Amino acid sequence: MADLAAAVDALRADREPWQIEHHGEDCCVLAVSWLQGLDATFHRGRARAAAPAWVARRWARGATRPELHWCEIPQASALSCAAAAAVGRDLWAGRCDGIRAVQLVELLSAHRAATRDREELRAAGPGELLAYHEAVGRERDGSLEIWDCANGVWLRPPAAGRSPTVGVRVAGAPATLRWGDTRVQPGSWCPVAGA
Amino acid sequence: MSSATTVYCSGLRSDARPSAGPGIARSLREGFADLEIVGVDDAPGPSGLHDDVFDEIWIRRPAAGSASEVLERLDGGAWWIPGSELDARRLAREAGAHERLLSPSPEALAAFDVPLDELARRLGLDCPPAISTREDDWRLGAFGREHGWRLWLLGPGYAPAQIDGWRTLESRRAHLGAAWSAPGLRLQAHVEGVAEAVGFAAHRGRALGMLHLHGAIRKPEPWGGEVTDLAVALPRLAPALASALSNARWTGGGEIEIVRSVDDELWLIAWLPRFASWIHGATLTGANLPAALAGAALGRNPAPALRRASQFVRVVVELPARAGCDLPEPVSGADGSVRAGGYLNRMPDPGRAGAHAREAAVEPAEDLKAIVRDVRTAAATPFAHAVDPAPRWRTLAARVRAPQLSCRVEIAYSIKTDPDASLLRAARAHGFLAEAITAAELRAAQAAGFQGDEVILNGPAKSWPPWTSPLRAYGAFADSLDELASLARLARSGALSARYLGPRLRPPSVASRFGIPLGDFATFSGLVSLLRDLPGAQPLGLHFHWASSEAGHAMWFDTVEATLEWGRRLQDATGRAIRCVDLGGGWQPDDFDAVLLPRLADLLARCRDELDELEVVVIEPGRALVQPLCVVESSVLELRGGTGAREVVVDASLAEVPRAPVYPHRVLSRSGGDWRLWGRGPDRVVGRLCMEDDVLRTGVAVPDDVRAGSRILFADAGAYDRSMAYSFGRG
Repeated sequence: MADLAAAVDALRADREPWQIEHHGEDCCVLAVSWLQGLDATFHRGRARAAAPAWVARRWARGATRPELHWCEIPQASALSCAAAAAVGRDLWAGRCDGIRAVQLVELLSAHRAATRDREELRAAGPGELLAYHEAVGRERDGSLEIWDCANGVWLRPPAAGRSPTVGVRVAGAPATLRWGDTRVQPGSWCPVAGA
Repeated sequence: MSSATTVYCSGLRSDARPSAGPGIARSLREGFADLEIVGVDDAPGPSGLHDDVFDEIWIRRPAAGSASEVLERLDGGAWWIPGSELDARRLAREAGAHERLLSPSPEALAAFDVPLDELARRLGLDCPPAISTREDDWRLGAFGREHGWRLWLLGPGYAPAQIDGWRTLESRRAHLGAAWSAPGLRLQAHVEGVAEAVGFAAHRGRALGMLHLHGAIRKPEPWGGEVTDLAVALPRLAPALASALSNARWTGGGEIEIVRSVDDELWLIAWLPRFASWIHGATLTGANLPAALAGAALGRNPAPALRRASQFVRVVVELPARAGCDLPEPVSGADGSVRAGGYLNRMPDPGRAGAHAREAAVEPAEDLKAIVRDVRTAAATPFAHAVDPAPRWRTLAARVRAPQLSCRVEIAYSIKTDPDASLLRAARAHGFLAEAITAAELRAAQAAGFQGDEVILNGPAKSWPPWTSPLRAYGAFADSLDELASLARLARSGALSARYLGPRLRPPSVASRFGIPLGDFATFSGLVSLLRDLPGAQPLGLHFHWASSEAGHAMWFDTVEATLEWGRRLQDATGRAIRCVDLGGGWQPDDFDAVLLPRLADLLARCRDELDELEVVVIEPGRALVQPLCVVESSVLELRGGTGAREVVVDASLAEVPRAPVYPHRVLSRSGGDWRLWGRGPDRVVGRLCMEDDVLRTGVAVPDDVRAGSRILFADAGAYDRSMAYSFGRG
C-alpha cells in the first residue's frame, strides 16, 4: 500500500481503539464478573496466557452500536470486530501481561472481504476494498502476536510477500515491537513490511 | 515400454482419505514431461490408477506380490516412489536401501521409529501423552480416564480412530484382532487446536524442500490450505527437521502432523514416512517436492514449478475409468453386506496378522490379593462376595484427613454407590457423612443410624418421595434455581434445617445435565439474587460434581479451580461467605488413591485461598470407596474354541456385573490353590443370558487349566455393579 496515511484517512481510522463503557453500578459489575468467570473457566492451567478463543464462539459477528456498556454484552447476539476485540482485550489483560489494543488497515479482494467481518470497508480500486479492523496484541520478547477476537484466529505477519494487512497501530506498548519484518512503533500507524 | 526413465508410483488410494501417489505422479509430470510413470495399486477401485497421468499401470496383488518383483524393476533401471506409509514400509522391507527406491531405508525408518515424545524432543515440539496398546487393560483404562476418554488410536498404516470410552476401545480392538499387539499402535491423548502440517523431501539426508501447510479445511485430511516455506512459517522447526533428516540420511518424502493449541504451542501428532497426500497442492503453489526428489536422484533439473497461487483446494472430480481396468463387481461380504469387491481399506488384515500373544495368568497385585485371599468357594454361583471395607476405609480416611489446614475435611459416602445397610453402618462408624439423592435414600441412611445433620442432600429429586416432617441435613445443594428457591422457602418456614445450603454449580466447560448452568448470564444473575435473599443466618455452601473419568484428571482439577473462582465471584456479588464446598468426582479407586489424594493438600489450600471464610470441605469419593468391595464368583459352563481364540461361557451375566462394558473388570481363576489374574489374549468371557451384549470381558487369555465347572472371579464388582444388579434369566 503506497499511501497508508491516505488509507487511514479514507477509513477515518485515526480513532482510538474501541472501549466498552461501564455504568459504575451493579449491572456492569455483575456482567464483568460473569465475563471474567467465563474467561477464567476456559483458560486455566497451561492455557492461562492463551488468547480468549471463546469470545468468537460466544458471539456472532455483526454491527454494534457505539457506547456499548458491559451490562449489554452478555445479552448481545452479535459483536463487531472492534467490540469483540475490546471485550477480549480486557479479559485477556486480566490474566496475561503485555496485552495491547491493535488497529489494522487491510486491503482485501472483494471475495475475501465478503467472508470477513470488518468495522468499516471502503472501495479501493477494481475488485479491492480497504478495511478497518481491530484485534488484540500480545507482546512477547519484543515481538507482537495479533489475535483476531472476532474470528478466533491469529493474524499472521506477511509471509512470502503477501498479506492483506497494510498498516498496523498498537496502543500502549512501551517500546517498538516486531511483527514479522515490520517494526511497530507504539501509538503510530506503521506500514506493514512485505505487504 | 520405451527407453524413457521409468518411475513407479504406489499408494494411489483416492477416496475420502487419499494417499499421495496420484499427487506425486502429477507433480513428477510437471517437473519431467518425458518420464514414463507407472501407477501401482492392489485393486482398480477408487484408485488413482484411472488418472491419465499414468502411462502404464500395474495391479500388484498384495498376497501374490513378492520382493523379487520390485527388485527386478529397480535393478532394471526403474525408480519407485511410494505414496503411502504401508507401501513405504513394505518396500523398505523388500528392497532395503536401494538407490532407486526414493523412500526411506530401513535404517532411516528405524531412526524415526522411536517414541513420539523422543521425536518431539528432537524437533522442539510438544507431544501429547500416549500409551502403547501392548499395555494391559487396567493401564489402558487408567490412561483413558486420565484424559477423559478423548483419545485417538494411531499406528503405522491405520486410519486414526477416535476412542471415546472403554466400549469403543473394545470394539476397535475386536476389529483389529491380532494387529492390536502390533508395534507402534498407540492410544494418544487428543489435543484441542488447529491442525497444521509439514511436508518435506530429502535425498541422502539433504533436505530438498520443507513446506508448512496452514490448512483452511481439514476433514480429516487437509482439503485446502496455504503453503509457505517452513523456515518462514516455523523458523525454529526448520533447522531441527533438516538436522534430523541429515542424521538419518533420509531419502524420500515425509509429513509431520501438528496441532497448534489454543495457547499457540505446537504439538507433534504424527510422523509419516511418505509424501503428504496434499503434496501436489504444494506443487500448485510453486514448490514441487516430488520433482525435486526425482531430479536429485536422476541428476537432472526439473522444469521450474509454476506458482499459480499461494493456496490450493481439493475438489472431487469424476474420471473415466481406465480402458481395460474395469471396476470390481460388488461382492457380498461374509456378513451379508455388499461392498465394492477387492477394495477394502488398507488396514492390515487381522486374519493375516499372526496369532495374538496369549499371556500367562499372574499373581495379582497386593491390594487385589488381599481382597480375594479370603474368598471361600460359594455353594452356588453366581455369588457376590462382600469384602470387609474396614482396611481400605481406615487408610483412605487417614489420608483424606491428614492435611493440616484451617478448615475441616469431611468424607461423604454416596449412598447410591451401594445402599447396603451394613456398608452404611460401617460408613457412619468410620465418621463419614452420607450423601442422599432421594428422600428414600435419606431414610435408608437414617435407618442405618445417620442423624439428620449427618446427611447431605443432592441431586434433582430430594423431595421424592415427599417429606412429611421437618428435615435436618448437613448440606442441601440445589440442582436448579427453582429448587434453590424452594429450599430457601423450606428453610425460612423451618421445614428444612440445613447446616449449609446453596447451589450445585455447573461451570460452562462442563457437559452435564446437573447443576445450575453458570454459562447463562440470566441464570447467574438469578442465582446472585436468590443467594442474597437467603436468610442472613443461613450459612452458604456450594457443590461441584463431575466424574473425573469423563473430565480427564487435568480438566477435573482445572474445573474445580474454576468452580472455586465462581464461588468467590458469588461471594463478592452477594456479600455472603461460602462456608462449605462439597466436591464429587466419581473416582475410580486407583485414581482416587494415586491422583486425588496426593494433590488433596494443594486442592484444599486452593479452596481456602479463594474462599476465605471456608469452614469445611466435603470430599465425595463415590465409587472409589466401594468398587473393590465386591467380587462376583461364577462357574464356567462351557469352554469354546481350541487353538484359536477361546470363549468362556459362565453362569454370571450383565445382571450381576452390569458395568462390565463400562470398564475392565479383573478376572481371576484358581491355579494350584491360588487365585491368578488372567493376562491379555484373544479370548473373551460371555454370560449366561441370551442377549448379544452379555459379554463380560474381552482381550483376555483363558488359562489352560480352566474348564467347564471351574470357578472364576470378577473383581472390581462393587459400587454400581452391586447397586444396579438385577434379577434376570433366573425364571
